[in-house]
Amino acid sequence: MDFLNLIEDFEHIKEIDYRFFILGFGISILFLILGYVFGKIAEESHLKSLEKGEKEFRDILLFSSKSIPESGQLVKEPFVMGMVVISHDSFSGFIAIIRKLLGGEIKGYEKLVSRARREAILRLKKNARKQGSKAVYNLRIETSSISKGQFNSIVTVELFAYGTAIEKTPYENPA
Amino acid sequence: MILSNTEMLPGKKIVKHLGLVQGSTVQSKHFGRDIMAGLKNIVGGELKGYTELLEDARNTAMYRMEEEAKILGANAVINVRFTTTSVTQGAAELLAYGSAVVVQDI
Repeated sequence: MDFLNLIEDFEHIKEIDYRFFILGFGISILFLILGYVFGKIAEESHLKSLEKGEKEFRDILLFSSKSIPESGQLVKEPFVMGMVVISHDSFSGFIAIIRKLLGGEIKGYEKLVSRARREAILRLKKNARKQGSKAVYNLRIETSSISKGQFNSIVTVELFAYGTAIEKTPYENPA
Repeated sequence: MILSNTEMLPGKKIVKHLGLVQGSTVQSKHFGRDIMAGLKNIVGGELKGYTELLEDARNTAMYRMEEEAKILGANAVINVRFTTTSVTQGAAELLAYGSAVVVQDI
């Protein structure tokens, strides 16, 4: 009798687990869909704003060379920087998990990091313009990953760009 | 105080080297910000809280470096570099360092 009761209890637990499983699965699917839809929208609008910003700040030249030409004049506060912390949506994280099994290029992460880099450089240019600068020398870019969520799937990266701003270069700035 | 990540400054010459100066800060993530960031991770995009946090931390590290240079009597710090190290889970050390120098207009 006791034994039968026990089996019944087990079945009871199983049923609950099953329901929770369905619920959990549903929630994850919902998050994936939300991630896909809102992620796409956010990405599109970010790319648009990046293009607009890059057009606006095209007259500021960036150089990764170490030395500044002698004719260059430093601005008042020559150290300029720009940074951004960005994370991708849950859908591309899910895709990346599958992609990792097969190996190869992970396009979602690639897009994320390149977007972040463009944004960081754009912010650096914004700061440079505030100082009245037309050129930034010795530009350096650093990337650091901030969090790696479950299965290393959630990727949050920080992009940090810095350089030395001078008033203008001996070269001609594009209009 | 002139800060620069280049080795030489245009139109200026270095008259005195005063050695290495550095400034550092250890920052941890704010609990509330962490929850918000977790939610933001679903849809992706910029985590403004973290950007601000890191920006503040970098400025603090740079400010401390500048203060050290001032004590030494420098008027410029050249070759400024940054490093980031994660000390424990959820906390990072930001270090700014450079050479303190006295420069003069040529």
